[in-house]
Amino acid sequence: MFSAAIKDTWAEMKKLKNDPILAAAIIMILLITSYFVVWPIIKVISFSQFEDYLKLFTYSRWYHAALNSLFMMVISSISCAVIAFIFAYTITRLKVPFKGLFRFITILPIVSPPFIVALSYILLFGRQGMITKYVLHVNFDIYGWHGLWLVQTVTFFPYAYAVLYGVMKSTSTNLEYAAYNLGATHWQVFKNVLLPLCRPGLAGGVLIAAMSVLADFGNPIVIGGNFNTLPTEAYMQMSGMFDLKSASVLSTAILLPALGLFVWNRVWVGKRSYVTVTGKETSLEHFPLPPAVKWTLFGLCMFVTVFVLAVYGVLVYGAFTKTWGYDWSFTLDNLTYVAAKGREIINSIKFALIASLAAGVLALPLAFIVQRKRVGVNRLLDFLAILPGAVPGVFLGLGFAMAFNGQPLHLAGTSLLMILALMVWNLPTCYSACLAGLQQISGALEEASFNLGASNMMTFRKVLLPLLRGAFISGIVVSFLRSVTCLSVIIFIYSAKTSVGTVSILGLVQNGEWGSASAFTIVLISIAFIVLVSAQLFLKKQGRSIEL
Amino acid sequence: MKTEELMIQISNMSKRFGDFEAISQVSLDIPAGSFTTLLGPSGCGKTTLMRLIAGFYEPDAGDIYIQGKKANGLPAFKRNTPLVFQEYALFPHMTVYENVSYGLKLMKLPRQEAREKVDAMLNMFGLQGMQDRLPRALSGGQQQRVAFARALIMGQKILLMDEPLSNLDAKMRVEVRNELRELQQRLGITAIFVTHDQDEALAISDRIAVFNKGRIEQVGTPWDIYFKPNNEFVADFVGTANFVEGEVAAIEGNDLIIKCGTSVLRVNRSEYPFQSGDRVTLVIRPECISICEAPNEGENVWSGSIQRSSFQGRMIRYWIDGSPLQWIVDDSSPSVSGYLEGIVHLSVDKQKIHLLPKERQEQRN
Repeated sequence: MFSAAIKDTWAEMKKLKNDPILAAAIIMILLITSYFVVWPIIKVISFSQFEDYLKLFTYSRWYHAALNSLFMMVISSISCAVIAFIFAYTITRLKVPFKGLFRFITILPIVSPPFIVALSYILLFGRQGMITKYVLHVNFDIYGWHGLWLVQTVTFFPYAYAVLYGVMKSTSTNLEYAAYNLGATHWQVFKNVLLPLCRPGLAGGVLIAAMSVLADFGNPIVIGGNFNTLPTEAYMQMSGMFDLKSASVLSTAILLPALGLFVWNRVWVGKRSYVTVTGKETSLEHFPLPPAVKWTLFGLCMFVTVFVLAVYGVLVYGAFTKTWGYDWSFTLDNLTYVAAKGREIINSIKFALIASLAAGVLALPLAFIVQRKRVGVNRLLDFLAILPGAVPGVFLGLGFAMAFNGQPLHLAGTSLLMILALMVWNLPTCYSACLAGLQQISGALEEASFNLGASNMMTFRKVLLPLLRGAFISGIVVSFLRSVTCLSVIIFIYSAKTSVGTVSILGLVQNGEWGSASAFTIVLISIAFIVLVSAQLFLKKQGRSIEL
Repeated sequence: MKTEELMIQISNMSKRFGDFEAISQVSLDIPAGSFTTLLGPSGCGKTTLMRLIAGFYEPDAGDIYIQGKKANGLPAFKRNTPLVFQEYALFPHMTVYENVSYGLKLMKLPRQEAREKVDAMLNMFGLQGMQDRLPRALSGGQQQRVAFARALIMGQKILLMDEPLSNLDAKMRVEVRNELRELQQRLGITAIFVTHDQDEALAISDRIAVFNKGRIEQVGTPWDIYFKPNNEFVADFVGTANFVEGEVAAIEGNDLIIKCGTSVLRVNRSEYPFQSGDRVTLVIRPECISICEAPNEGENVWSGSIQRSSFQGRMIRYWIDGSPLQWIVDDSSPSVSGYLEGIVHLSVDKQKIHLLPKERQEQRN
């Protein structure tokens, strides 16, 4: 069977001789992805010897960092999944007010820098915290795993929510009605029908949350305190001691479980979806729940919502406050400070814009070839395109720092390095968007175009491209947002000249300059929001919407 | 009406969705053991009524009685009104066995007993050997039989069906509807069947309720619905009909003499209340008109010229210009010489003309 597969592959590849443009495109894509995706990964993994890796088990500080990372990953992904499930259920199934607000809450963290929840957590509950100092008059240590757990849950539940929402929305309520019709009570319907149908979504949500928490750098560095995790430990080794070897070992230690989760998610969860066919039959509205249950769920969503709003509200307040905790008077100093740091903001925008455009331009032909052509290497191309999605940001950054620091490409400290790293990091985002867009375009449309006499190129340009515009722009916008708010990828590769907004904020937070940090964050979020809203308005005019 | 003979009684029921009145002031009695079909175009309210019976919706006004007991406010899971969904709504994560036995599991029936019941059901529907398959591994027809087995296994006396045959191909549909009718009579179930397919409704039902815009236009036997429609909507929706406007010119013994344009037709008076001078609409089914090349003798004869014809296997349909009137005529025993052409002669039995009072214009659309 295996040899037959190879034979097929070979036969398909031989056919490429007749289509030189396609062959050239594939070779180009393979070269680019090998050099900018695979090479940095190999570089990091191979930098250290086997003995160095053994230190993970023998050196207690690292051993604990690894355990901490795993522990945080497990508890946070469970709490993320629970909250995400409640949100998805409430939004797809219940008739309650404020659903628009709940949905908004699930978008906010996606347009925010990664550590802002941690930052406002400090502003609320820290030593000078608004609530701890002035409302409760207590003073306790918020740094450590409790605080981090809360912060990670609030930060990453929206990612789990996005998966669960998709599954629940596509699960026909008729199945629930069928169970009620046979005599099942609310609880039985939930237990026997809805929960099993959502299980793949739940697993997918847990895995996404787990990957994000495992790889997260921003929150633990701000709020972890002595609770060190693998990404923060790698950062310490690199920035404190320039110990590349240790950093590479620690980063690789994150990569392996991350890859495992990633593969598990794609292979196992992907095959177990029960997305139900909804044909002509109109789906019924959700079967009304007992009011007590309904309003409890609503209350839980409201509680999380208020908390998230407080997180952002306190940032806005902090941005206009003189000295947090001591002098609450209104000031514009913080904004003036941000204005003085204009270059970093411009860098943020510039790098994000170029990188996301480049990612989109690379992703489009890649998705087209994988989805529409049989070229023998489809699976390889697909794997290369999604691989960066499995690589933790810190690892990718380290890989770029190591791989392009000498012959043949010396890019250390340049803008190009930042752009390339962000481009690779966002390749999966753009690729998935284009792939999903292509899957929705029936092959019959292309056949119709060929049938009317259009060439390959003409069909691509005149039929596919216009139809793909929504997905394409959507992918680029999301990539832009991710880039502007990205910290983990660039923390190892920025230089004084190429520093960006998120790096400055981290520095301000570490120095306890809450006001300036808040102001900086608010400015970044505003930029992200303006871009998101204008893109949404633009796409809405064309009858499309952005999939976050 | 005696309630003990009625399985379901609906009185003055209304249901709106926002501004849309899906059901307005509907009353319907469903006798025990009958096969009742709710027939109508899409959006007419037939499915809404079925869901109201199943308890998926609560009515805004009106009452529903199931087996003599008021069912308003009773949640769907306490109604004992099993429903076969249009797309079957089989649980995709459960095997055939688990799907069929789900209702028994909810009743906490002992395992052995449940197994026997499920086996009997699977046998009845020819699903032996498939109990461990998931629904997606079944053909459309098999899925449908699982849906029926799941609905019938509790042995309830009511079966609701929401266009269950619409996903089958044409030939299967006819087969299954015959089996379904046979099954319903054998088990003595009260069946309520929603469809927009008039052939299906006529073939399968004891009684048909024709819906239009949230109201019931007519309830009756298939025969009455077809040959004695209450109004033009029913006549037009069920089958094809020639509508001819006319005026009662005279009453002669048992016949009404009706003037339509330049011709005069004689119609059996039966119970029609019309008087001389009344405006009426004649409803004549295409197959009730005889067509031949030679001129006919007697009453109700006229002629016209064939404009178009269409061969439909069991008959030939002709469109005939009998100026000023246009006619559709079905010839179910065509002559060996093939299609007729040119001038033909038509006749209709006076018993086979149905009369309606002339409706106002706005009601006709």
